[in-house]
Amino acid sequence: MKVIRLISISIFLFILCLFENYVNTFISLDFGVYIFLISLLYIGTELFNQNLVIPIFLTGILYDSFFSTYYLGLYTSIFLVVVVLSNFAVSRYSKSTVIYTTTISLCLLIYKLPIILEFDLDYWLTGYLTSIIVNSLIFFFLKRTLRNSV
Amino acid sequence: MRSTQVVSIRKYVVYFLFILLSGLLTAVDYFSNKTLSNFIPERVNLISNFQIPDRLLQNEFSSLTSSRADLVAENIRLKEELSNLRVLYVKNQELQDNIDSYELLIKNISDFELTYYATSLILKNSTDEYIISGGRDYNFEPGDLVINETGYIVGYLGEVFNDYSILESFNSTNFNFRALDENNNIFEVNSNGKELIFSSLESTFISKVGMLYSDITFGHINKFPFYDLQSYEQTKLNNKFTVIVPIEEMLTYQSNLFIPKSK
Repeated sequence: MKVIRLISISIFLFILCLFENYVNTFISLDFGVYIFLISLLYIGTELFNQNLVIPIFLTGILYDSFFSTYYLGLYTSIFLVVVVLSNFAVSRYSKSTVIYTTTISLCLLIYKLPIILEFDLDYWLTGYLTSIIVNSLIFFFLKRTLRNSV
Repeated sequence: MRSTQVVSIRKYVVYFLFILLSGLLTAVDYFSNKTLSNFIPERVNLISNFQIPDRLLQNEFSSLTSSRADLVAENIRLKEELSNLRVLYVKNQELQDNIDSYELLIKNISDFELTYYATSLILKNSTDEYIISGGRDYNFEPGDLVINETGYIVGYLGEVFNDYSILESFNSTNFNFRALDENNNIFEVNSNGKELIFSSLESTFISKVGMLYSDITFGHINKFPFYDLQSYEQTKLNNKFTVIVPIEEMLTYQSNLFIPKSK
């Protein structure tokens, strides 16, 4: 039962990851809608659990294998670091909007690290700043909706 | 207080262990020349497995109602026929689009000794590389050129998997290309994501750079036009040219892409 649960969560996360790439293929504006990153942030801030490490790890391995030209394990580490960092920031400091926004900014920076390291500041800065606003809004909306429904 | 801190750090131990494991996998993959990361994609046909089977697009539930009145059966049969016709219509539209793009390509290319495989965009990954259909099933190889319907190069294949490939396009982080001009001067092309930077590798005595082409000396399959630099500002320093060209066109689902291969 536990194995089936882990596999189901892994598949769900991988589909979210694919969906994120699919959505961003359509968006030709200078920002991204990072649904998978928002899910990782939600896991880190609201649902942090040691049992989720395997699904996140498996999702990263699948993403690295199928859709990334980088070495296996790079995006896996990024996904795990995002979850740890977001949980650390929220549990160490207060659960305020400022902390959440700062966490999203930092996590997005880590999430886009391969592009940031390769390209100049003027390539990614505008998109990065816009993405912080867009993704923060989505995150707060999701958080509020899920809290209300619970 | 101290024990609370220990507890709060302890909850991350498993995550740190898995981060270390990921780092280890990266190191092994690096030293094994990506054998590890290619292990799963070489065994799985991901894109073909994700296609919606025709069975699902048609109404397959008619057999369940076979015992009902003739009128209901006829209604179901007609609905089934309608859904079949819709599937056919979609296929017909796709084929019509394919024919149109091939017709446009034929007008623009001169070499008919090659086979031009039509490919299409599937999605864009996190590092702005495009995943396109077709892989080892069409004998595609890393480095194969990808051209558009006007015959111009839009990139090359970075990695090839069973039934899909990763296209290194102009705005890809790994884009690195070599091309020749009409006077056989070699140019190296790199991308910073928003601009293409053309740099001549050797000293040249020409006054202006014109059209650049791919060439078999760089392992390309044939000579295809790459970029016309005539209209862009060109900097000449020590008889070496540098031209910076903004990337304007992005690939979309409507882009017609082809991969030329020898017959």
